[in-house]
Amino acid sequence: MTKISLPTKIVLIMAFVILSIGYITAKQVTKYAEEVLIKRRKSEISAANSGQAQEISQILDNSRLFVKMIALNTRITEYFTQPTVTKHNELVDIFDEYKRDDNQYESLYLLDKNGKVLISTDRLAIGQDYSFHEYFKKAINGEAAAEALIGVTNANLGYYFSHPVKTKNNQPIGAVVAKLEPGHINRSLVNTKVNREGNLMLADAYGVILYSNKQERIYRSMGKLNQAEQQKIGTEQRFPGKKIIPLDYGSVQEIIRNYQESKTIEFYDLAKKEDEMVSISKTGDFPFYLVLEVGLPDVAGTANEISNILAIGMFSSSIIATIILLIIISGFLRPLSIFKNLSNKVSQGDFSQRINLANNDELGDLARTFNDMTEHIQDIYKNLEQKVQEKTNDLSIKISELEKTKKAMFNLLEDLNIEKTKINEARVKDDAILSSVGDSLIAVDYKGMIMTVNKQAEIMLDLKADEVIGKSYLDYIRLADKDGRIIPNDQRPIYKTLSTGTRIIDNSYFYTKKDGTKFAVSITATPILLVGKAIGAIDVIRDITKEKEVDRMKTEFISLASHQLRTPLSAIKWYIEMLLNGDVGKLTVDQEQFIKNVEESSERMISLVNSLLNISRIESGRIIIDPQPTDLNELLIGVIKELEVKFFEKKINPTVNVEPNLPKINIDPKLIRNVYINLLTNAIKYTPEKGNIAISLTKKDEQIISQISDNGYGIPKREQHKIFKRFFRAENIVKLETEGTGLGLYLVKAIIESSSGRIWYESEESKGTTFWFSLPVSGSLAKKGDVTLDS
Amino acid sequence: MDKKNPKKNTVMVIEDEILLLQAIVKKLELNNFNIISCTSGKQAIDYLKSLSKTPDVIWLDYYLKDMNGLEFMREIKTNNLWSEIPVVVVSNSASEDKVKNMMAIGAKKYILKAEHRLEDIISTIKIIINEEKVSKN
Repeated sequence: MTKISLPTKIVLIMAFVILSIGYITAKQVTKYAEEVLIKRRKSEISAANSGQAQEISQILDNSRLFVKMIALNTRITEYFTQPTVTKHNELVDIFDEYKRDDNQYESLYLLDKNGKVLISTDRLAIGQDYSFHEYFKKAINGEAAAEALIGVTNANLGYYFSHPVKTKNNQPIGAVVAKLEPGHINRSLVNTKVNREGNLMLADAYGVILYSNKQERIYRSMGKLNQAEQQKIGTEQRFPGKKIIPLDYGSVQEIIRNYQESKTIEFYDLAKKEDEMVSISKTGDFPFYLVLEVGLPDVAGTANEISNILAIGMFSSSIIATIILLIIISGFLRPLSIFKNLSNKVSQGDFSQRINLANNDELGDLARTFNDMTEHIQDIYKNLEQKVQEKTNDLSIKISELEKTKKAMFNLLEDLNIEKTKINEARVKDDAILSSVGDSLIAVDYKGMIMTVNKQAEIMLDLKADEVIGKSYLDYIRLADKDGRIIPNDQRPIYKTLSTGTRIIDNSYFYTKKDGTKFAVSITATPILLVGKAIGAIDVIRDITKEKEVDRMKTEFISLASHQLRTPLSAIKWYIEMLLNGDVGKLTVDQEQFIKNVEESSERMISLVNSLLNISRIESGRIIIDPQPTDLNELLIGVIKELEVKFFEKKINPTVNVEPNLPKINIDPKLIRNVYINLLTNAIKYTPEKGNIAISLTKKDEQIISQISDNGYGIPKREQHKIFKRFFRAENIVKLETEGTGLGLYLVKAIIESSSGRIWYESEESKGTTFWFSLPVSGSLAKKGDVTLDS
Repeated sequence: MDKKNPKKNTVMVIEDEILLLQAIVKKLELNNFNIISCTSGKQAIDYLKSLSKTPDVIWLDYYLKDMNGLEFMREIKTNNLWSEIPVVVVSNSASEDKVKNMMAIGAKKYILKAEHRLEDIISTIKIIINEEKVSKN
């Protein structure tokens, strides 16, 4: 920005202020002057106009008096009383004489009471009937009159003055009329001020213009004539042969029509596009009106001229005042520039500067104070310099240290940010994974306190993460059995998982929501193991209401099917029985053999139905496990005895080896019996005649292990992975033995596993097979259900 | 119904499956029983009402068209005389709760139809009749 010195600023401001005031004043003066001028001009014009009108009225008045004078001549009255030729001639002479005396009159007339011209200086008029003229009508009514019209005989405009001629009894008996030449009046107007001022017009009582300095306006009316006026002008034959065309001065016409006093009006002239003023004055008591039209710009022009002169004056005075001010102020302020220069030097460190100023005013004081100050600073500065140097050195060391620290901090922050981002990413991923899991998921620490719950858990279990995190799982997740009994804590899967470090799966519980509604759940509690110790657990809870429903339907279906299948099977079985028994007569050998074949098939069918039923019972989880203290040896011997016939048929003598002093264990004997029957039946079936079958019972750790070995056909290696699958039958076996459902081993495995045991095998094709299964000495866990096998 | 031999034991058989009923009746005849055969629970109750002498034993199928075994048992338990009659349930279905409930209400035996020969069932019936007679005397 350009630097502006103080004096310049002051001068500029002053100049601005003076000029502004000057401008405003000039503006105001102009406006006022214009107003005053216009007002004055208006009254001037108005006065001039009415003055001029007055002058015209004087002329007219002279003519009126002239006519009156003639009318009062007694000779005329006498002539009317006793008309004689002598008197007539005498009067003709008198009229001629009057005209000669005053030659401004074009003609003089004497009219009788009927308006007939008796005597006239215009000989052509004698004998004419002028009764239609207004001036006659008025005169015969006893009134003097004056009007302008175009004459009958010479078709010239003239101002006609009439006066009645009266009898001694004051009765009008005729009229004297004088026609004044218009030039007489016109001349009186031509050289007047008003005539130069603007458009001057003289109009009659109808607004018809008789004189104007604009020739073309003559015989035109100011504004529109109404119908009565037009008619009157016509009948009175005022302007024969002239068509009265109105001008555009309707308001003037109106003023004339209702004239009371002289008036000045302003209006906007559309044709000229300027403001105009019009002054209207009546010529005394004569029915003529002087109208002066002046354009207003002329007035404003004068005002502007005045204001221009004023403005120029103001402006030049302002400039002169400004220059004078500039000179004076810069004189006053000169010391300031000295201060400035010295201050500059001081600020650059030169404290030796002093001001030599002897002024006896504020500036002088300032100079002295300035000198004191620089002296003082000079002293301080000497010490300061050294100290500052020292501090500066210290500071620069500290700054460089700070820089290093800052850099290190930045690096650290950057690392932190990267880590933070990674953690956030991981967390977001975890959250996404957890919330997309369809099952409820609850993580607890080793004390069973809830650490995390996923979205599904909040929805399914009707709880809020904020409320349960940090609280005890066992308190917040309430489980009940199907009868609504609360599950004791030590039987809860999460408790078992945390205390044993093993995964626990349980499908038999119900979760109760806050509102009391409950639903079946499958709970999988998995320990979080750290060096073999559970430091927490993950509990996955699944709503299995649907599964339960499907199971229920499946069981219902099977139960129905069993009823339907078993009825015809029973009928077949019983009728075969009676046939073979000879209840309906003795059978031939062939017949008996055939029926036996039928019986065999029907028995197989019955056993297939039973197997299917057993499997569905096991699968549905509805099977009852009812453990009782059982001597496995006794159970095994019973089964072998049951299968005696089958062993005998295959000529196999099984070897049985039982470890002495085996404890009784808590298992469901019905179920385990089924296992032995299945495994032994298989061994017999798939071992050729005279083969070996060995059975043993041993205790190892806390398990009792049953072993059933044969040296039969064995199971091909490639098929071994399928042996516990439903309906599995080995290829080599199917060729040899057609009977079999493929359900035996599947059922065996299911029973063992639901009895807390384990089953495994070894097999080689054509060499034989060995099955082992273990049952814990601690026994199977009891399980409530609603079905048993083979029922 | 043919005239009953008063010396013979009477078995009321309630079985809605005609083929099975025919087999049972035939086998019981061969074993020298008087037989009252019924194909519905209501028919059986009506017979019981009209008979002067109650049957010695009732052979009852669990699933009947008009009622189940438990309902039938409740019906006969309303009458002191009828409630004395031993009932052998012979059914296609022997689920734990059914067996438990029937035995609890007073059935003597619950036999699974397809698993047993007619002859075996009739032997059981003979044993039950004998036991009853012994305990009455």
